[in-house]
Amino acid sequence: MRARFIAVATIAACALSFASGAAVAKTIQLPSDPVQLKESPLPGYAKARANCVACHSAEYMLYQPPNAARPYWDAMVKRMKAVFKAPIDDADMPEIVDYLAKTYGNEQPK
Amino acid sequence: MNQRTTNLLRRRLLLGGGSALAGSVLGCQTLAQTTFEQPFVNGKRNVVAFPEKRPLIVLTTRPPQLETPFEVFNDGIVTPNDAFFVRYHNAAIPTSIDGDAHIVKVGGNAAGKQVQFTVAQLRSQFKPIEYLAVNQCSGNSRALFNPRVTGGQLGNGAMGNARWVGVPLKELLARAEPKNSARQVTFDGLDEGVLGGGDFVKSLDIGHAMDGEVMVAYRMNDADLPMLNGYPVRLIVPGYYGTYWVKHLSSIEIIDSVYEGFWMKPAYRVPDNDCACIEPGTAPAATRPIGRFNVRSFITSHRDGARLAAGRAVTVRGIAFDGGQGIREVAYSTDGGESWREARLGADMGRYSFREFTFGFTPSAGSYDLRVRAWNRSGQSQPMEALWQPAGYMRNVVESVKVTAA
Repeated sequence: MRARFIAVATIAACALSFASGAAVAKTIQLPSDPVQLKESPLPGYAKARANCVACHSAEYMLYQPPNAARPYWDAMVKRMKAVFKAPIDDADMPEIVDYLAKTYGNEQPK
Repeated sequence: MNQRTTNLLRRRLLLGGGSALAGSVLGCQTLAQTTFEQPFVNGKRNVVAFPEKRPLIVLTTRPPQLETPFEVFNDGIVTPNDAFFVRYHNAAIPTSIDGDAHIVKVGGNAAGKQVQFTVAQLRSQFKPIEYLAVNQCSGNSRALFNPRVTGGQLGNGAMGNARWVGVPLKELLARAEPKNSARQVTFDGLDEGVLGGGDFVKSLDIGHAMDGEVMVAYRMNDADLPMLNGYPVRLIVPGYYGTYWVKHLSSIEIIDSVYEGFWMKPAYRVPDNDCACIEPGTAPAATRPIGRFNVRSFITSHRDGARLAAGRAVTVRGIAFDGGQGIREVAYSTDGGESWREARLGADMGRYSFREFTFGFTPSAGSYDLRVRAWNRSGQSQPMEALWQPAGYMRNVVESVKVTAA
């Protein structure tokens, strides 16, 4: 399942239709992510790169409103593990939450 | 010549001729990166043409979440397929599907039989129904909440109106012979969680699922569904938020219990009171699954900040819709809500469709705060002040469009 989305990195957005006998398949190619996680000296940065963006683009973090507070980021990281099976070590969670709150949330430097 | 051959031919014509391969390439283009500034803080977005789509406002790339530029809603009451918004929850989405051989299974622990149909059979073995219906994301307009709430930061473009053709869900359920113990029906599509968790599964009560209107659609605006809108079949739940409109529909289960998977509980729930709202910053005492649309109306012909010529008559146009009662009246104000008059309604295209309205006015030099407010046939309307809830669903305040005449 993982290979299915990693393989889509491409500079073009295409849709193809293959005709083979009676069968008609519609095939598309999706664009690659335009943004990456923001670099940071915080220890949670590397852990976020390893754990978060395997499943979704960094736009999920980047576009949150500036009042997004630490409890939100904490709840999201816990949800990603509990619901979406992200293989996050419990010991890494506080650093990931710290990175997210300080980089994308209401603890960003003014 | 059958419809499929016609479509293939049309695709080749669009490409300027046939291909040496037994296939055609649709809309293959290098991504031109432009941006759009949404009217809220942290609202800069990329504008990108995804497969089978014109350039749309990108909320997220992976999985794709795309918003319709608002000016599209002024082009007509039907939203073109290539402009229709896209919302996925998981990034393991199908990128190649045989649209005739795709199978929809119907079973479950409250079904007397397990049956399945290919899409080709859905087209040929059932009498189709069709209607126009609005699809709207639960979180459409979320970024306009004040105070802001977390989640997908959408403007007003996560909605669209299309003509859907398909099989009444009721007919498929009947083939599976629901037992008396049936309480709900669950719906699953081909999109999956990347790591196997969080599969997007939704449910409806059995009575709703059997109402004859809920549809398994295989046509959208006289064409196949775009891949990103659920090709080859999606569930249509007219009047209900898009969260129930499961894409790439593959499995339907009639069950003897109330389904409580993540996407029904705790996700997609609203405060369990009349307004589905609470005081900002508080928590709801109880919640229920989100349901029908409330009433909304928008001016589409003029954007906030538009400039008009003083002394010249203008026609203002817009759209209104609700959860299925149908729009009865749209009132307009040019003075910020101090005084109201009745707008003219356009043709009634069905109670689930956008309804056009127009009104004329001749501005003198000065500033005008244009507002529109709709009522449905049950007398439900829109609040003058925005309601608030923590998930940012169901915004339907009377919107304000400020224009200046000089």
